[in-house]
Amino acid sequence: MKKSQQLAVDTRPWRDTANNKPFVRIKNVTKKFGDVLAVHDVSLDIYRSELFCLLGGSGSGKSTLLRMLAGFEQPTSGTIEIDGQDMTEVPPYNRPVNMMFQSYALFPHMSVEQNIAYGLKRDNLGKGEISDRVAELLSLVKLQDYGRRKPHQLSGGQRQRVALARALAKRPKLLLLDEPLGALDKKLREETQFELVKIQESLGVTFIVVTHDQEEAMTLATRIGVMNLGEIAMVGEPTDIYEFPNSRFVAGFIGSANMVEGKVTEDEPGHVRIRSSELGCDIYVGHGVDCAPEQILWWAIRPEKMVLSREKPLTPHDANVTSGIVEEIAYLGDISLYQVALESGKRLRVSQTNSVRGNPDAITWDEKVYITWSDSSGSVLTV
Amino acid sequence: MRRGWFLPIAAALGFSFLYAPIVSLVIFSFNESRLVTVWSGFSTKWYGELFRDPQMLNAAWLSLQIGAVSATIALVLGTLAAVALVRFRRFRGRTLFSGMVSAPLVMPDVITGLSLLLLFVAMEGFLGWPQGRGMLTIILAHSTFCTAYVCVVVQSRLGDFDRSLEEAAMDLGASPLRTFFDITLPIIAPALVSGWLLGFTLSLDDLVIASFVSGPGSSTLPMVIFSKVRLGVSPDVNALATIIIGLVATGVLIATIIQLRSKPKKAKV
Repeated sequence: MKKSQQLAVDTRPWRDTANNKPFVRIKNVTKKFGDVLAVHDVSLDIYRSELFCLLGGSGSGKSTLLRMLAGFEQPTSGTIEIDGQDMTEVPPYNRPVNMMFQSYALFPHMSVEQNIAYGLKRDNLGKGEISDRVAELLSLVKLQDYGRRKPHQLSGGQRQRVALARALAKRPKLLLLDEPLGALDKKLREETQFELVKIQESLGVTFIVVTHDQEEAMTLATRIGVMNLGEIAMVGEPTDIYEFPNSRFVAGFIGSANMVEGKVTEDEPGHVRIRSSELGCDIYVGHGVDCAPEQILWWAIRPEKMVLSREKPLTPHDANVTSGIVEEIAYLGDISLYQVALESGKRLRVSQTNSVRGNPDAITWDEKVYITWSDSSGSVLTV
Repeated sequence: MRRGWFLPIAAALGFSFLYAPIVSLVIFSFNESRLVTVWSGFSTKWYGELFRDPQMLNAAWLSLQIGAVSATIALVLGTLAAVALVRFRRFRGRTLFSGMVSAPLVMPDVITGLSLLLLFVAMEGFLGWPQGRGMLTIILAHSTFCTAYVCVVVQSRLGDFDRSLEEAAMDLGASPLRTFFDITLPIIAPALVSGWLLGFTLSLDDLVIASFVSGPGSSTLPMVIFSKVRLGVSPDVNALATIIIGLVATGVLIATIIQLRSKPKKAKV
């Protein structure tokens, strides 16, 4: 089920946990605010030089987890280790960790230079050393000519870069970023995403990013931790999260997915057959699944993993094909999204690439179509 | 649309209602005549007269001292109260505390004055302090009600203060105390300045409370003026009033400018 490894193991230390020591260790951390359980028994290992994204909706506990790493909140129980040292009781001003705030939190009464120098001054560095470091950081974020400005004289994108420079000034071992791109408009956000990754790779600092934007997480992250209701729902590389979700929540939260309920009719080591009345056909899955005959489970498939056709295609095993009527078509330029109503009333969303320009023969409204997929396209979900 | 005549006239009437008495007072302070209501020519002799009157000068000096000291005490106490109210959202007796802090704002001066007088007398009986009544008791009394005003002003400023600024400073290695002096204080400074000026002005202005808690030989400026006026208005009081108006207006103006200049930055950042 795992895809082949294209990269050497040492660039992906999480794949070889026996030989790599995690850099950040979150062990059984729980945080309660009064009676409200914000973070529930989270354990997470993050490795050096990772760009780890905590992804979740509002109230999923991702920001609370980040604030506990920064030291602004104390875990109710559990421990946090950074670089082998227990940080649970260490106050924020003594941690080798810096944070970039969602609101940027630039000091309004200080110039850009003073903002960046603030942390260095707290370390009692020499004047010359501080000004060298500030100049270095200003050129890193391409704001050489803005050092004397006040934050209110900068645009949103420039402020974001000042905040990043200030957070990097002390060469933290670990940088925490709270919705780093949330306040930028779409175009600027896309440009900044790549810049952020470039900076992270060139400095080798470990980044932990909190975001609610899955596209952002997919672009930035080496690994993503999906959070739901204070718990980690799944941890994995972006492709794992998208292609091999471990639960209905993850499948539904990331991207869009068609999900149907079914009952196992054949359970062999090499394949599984699932009967779904919703789908009106059998699902033949070409690999073994940890399940039992007669078990009720769910099957999820992404819209782009299915094919539409007017004629009934030939499929092996008498499965993996169903039919319906096209109800809606959303033309998005590169792809078209079809909503097809099956006989059971279930609606499937299928996307097709518009590879022919202005195709006059394209499938249109109210047509009867067949939908088919390969035996490895869907994910079988038991929870 | 044609500009109506109604609005300018209404504005003129409103302003004259508010400021005509003050303007006439200022004009008559430059009157030559001994009679307050009869104009007989321009002169600054009453200003000269004023500065030769030791009673008046002593009272003015006392009032300035009291104003400065009580405004400073009120600034410290009021700021602490505001921090407690804004930063600690929930603690035992919060409602009571916030009510008590702002009570002097709505309490009639007579009651505040009387209750403080009773308190001071009782304290002298039990503790032997403060001995008698005079400058000290006036300062204590003024600090009490000025604290309420400072608290309100600072509270509103702290209310829209972005907490993450302080967190950012701590994250960069500043201890909580350092953070307070580097970040919190500079940002709420405008509110502190205007709070102090407000307290100073109110203390300078107070007659009723001071009358209750003052003792022999410690008459504040308003008390002296009031007792003089009761024996008939003399033109040097006009001169004095003009000076006070000038001082107060300058103070209020400075406070307003400081508040306004700090606003646009905050709105953007």
